[in-house]
Amino acid sequence: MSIVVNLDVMLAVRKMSSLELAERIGITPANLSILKTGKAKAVRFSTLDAICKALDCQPGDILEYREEESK
Amino acid sequence: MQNKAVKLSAAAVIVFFLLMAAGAVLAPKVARLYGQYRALPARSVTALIAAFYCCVVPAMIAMVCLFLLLRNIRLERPFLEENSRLMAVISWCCAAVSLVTLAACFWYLPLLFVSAPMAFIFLIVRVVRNCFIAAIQLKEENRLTI
Repeated sequence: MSIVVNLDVMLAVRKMSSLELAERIGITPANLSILKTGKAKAVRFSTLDAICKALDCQPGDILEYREEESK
Repeated sequence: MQNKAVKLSAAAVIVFFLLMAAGAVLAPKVARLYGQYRALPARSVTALIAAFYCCVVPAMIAMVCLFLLLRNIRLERPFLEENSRLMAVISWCCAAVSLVTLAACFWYLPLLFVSAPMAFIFLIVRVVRNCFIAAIQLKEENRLTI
């Protein structure tokens, strides 16, 4: 997957734990972990909206496109 | 209501399994009686008995797979990889029965009326399995949609 989720960076900047973020946006810590570790296949706009509200950031702050290295 | 339907299906599978087991014991006698009634040549009766015994094994395997499939449905786990594998086994059992009865047709032609429907059921189960695989993939993607 070429889309990288940089939640850890924003969590560190806002001095927030994963558990606290999960509670604020209304998803389970397990699901947040799936997002953080890049295993997620898709993100709902509603989830992205909640994350940006909780972390006071833009989608571009947490989502990054990295071109995959050619095999 | 769904639980009732699953229990009914499971009961039917058990009954059919027991009938197959009884058939395995009584097949030679029944085939000979049938052969006498229809004045069939000895090779046709032999072909009938041989075909039956060759088909009993895949049939019983298919019954066990059906029972396991129903168990997973009852446990509310319909979209498992295991279920897709069970359906694959069931389809190959149908194919095996179709091929065995097709071969036995040379000695007893009416077995063609078993072979053709079994080939058709093989195809149906394969296509339904493909649907299940697509559903499993969708469910997995949905699980990984946050």
